[in-house]
Amino acid sequence: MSAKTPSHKPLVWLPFAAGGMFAAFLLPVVMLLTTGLILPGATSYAGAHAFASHWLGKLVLLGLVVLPAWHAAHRLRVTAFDFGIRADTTVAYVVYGGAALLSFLALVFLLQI
Amino acid sequence: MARRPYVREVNPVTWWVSDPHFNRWFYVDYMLRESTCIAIALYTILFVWGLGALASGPEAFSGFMGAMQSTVGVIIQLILLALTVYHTVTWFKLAPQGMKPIRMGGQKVPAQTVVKAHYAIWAGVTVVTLIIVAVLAP
Amino acid sequence: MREIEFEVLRYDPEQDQAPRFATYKVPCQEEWVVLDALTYIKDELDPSLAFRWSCHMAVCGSCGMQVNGKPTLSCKAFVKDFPDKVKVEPLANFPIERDLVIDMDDFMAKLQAGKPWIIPEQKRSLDDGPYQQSPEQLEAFKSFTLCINCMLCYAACPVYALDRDFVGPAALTLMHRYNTDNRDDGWSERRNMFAGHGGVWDCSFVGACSDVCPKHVEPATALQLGKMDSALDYFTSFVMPRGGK
Repeated sequence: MSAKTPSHKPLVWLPFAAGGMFAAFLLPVVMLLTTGLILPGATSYAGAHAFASHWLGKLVLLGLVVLPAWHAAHRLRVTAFDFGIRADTTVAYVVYGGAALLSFLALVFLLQI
Repeated sequence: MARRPYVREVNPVTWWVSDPHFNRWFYVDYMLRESTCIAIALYTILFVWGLGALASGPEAFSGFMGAMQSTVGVIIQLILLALTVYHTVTWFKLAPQGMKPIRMGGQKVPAQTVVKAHYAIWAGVTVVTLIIVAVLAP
Repeated sequence: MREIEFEVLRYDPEQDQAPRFATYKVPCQEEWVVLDALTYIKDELDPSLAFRWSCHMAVCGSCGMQVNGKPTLSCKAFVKDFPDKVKVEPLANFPIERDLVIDMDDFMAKLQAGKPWIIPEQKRSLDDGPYQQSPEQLEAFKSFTLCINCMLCYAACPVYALDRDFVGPAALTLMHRYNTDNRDDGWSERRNMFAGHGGVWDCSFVGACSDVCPKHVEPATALQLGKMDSALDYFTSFVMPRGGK
């Protein structure tokens, strides 16, 4: 076996685990709300804008993007391997890059509100 | 007598459906569980899109929400919701297997109790979220 | 008494280019296990059939095979739980040495490389007396000591199937067992193998290892806890040069 050093995976695994937990508890109800099937007032411009104007609301909305994005990114990397895609480094750049881009865009949009 | 061990090749693409017995459901279930991340990724993209629309003003936002709440939009979201709920169910199922046993009064808390506690917290989080939204919504 | 048709994988390295299946009709007693049926085949039908076994009571870990596609101890697989046709193959994910005998060299090398023994902080002499360990300290790793090295978890693990570099469930579980032992101070010696390429981070928590484990060792749990330990070690190593334990 070749020389080994500790993996840097903790950097991506902790956001994956935290995001998975967050998504499991919170995403279903958020999805239900954005369909407009319940409490349609929540997705009105006035309601959404008021919520996103408060710093606490911004924080919640940012969390709703960042945590699920990093969860999905890491799991996509593993899933790509499981489906036979062996270009792990390329896949890692694509999925983590995507998650970083989504996080960045969410931050920029929220700061504009 | 020379050794000549025979290596059975594993297909890197179809391994999870290749065995007719044990493997079929266990590994298919695993692949389905892992694939829920596609739904979460897609929804997150929609969500960021919505934030962009919210930042651009009322017209952009009502256009976005109109699409989200059209028949097609709702159907797509319900499919994503079903997959995300499957993520939740499998995440809770694995929770006791991924942590140190919890002890209460010198007794190990059974795995099933840990899973049930997760469902209780999920119900609580959902109800509290809905109450907060109902209070804040105009 | 019930006649069961056993479809058994045969491979003779001196004659066969590839494995083939042979079928044997075995009159099985009600209380038999699959291992009894294999013994019947060897005694009565075909003495050339090769398979490993020893204790016949799920302790030695020698008789693991794929029974109807599932990694199983053949001494624990009661024929009454199976239909009239049973397929028996050597454990998946290992090279076949002959018939149902697998080549376990890779597993043995990894098991040993993990230093599965107590590495004390300081060498103790007999005069120092015994090690102290509380019931709580023992409880932290007790289930992980129950492994019998039967390798069923390797046969069930798709990560190992797809990546030969993966150290695998049993060997990593045993490393975690010693890392968790309060008498042990060998983390730094095991770290690169445990947390490096092929270590716990290659595990994707499929959970098949725990599902097939005949001794309820819960390798999947050991590897998850191992990830937490090595994540903690990874981040504390930035703060403190020598890291945690």
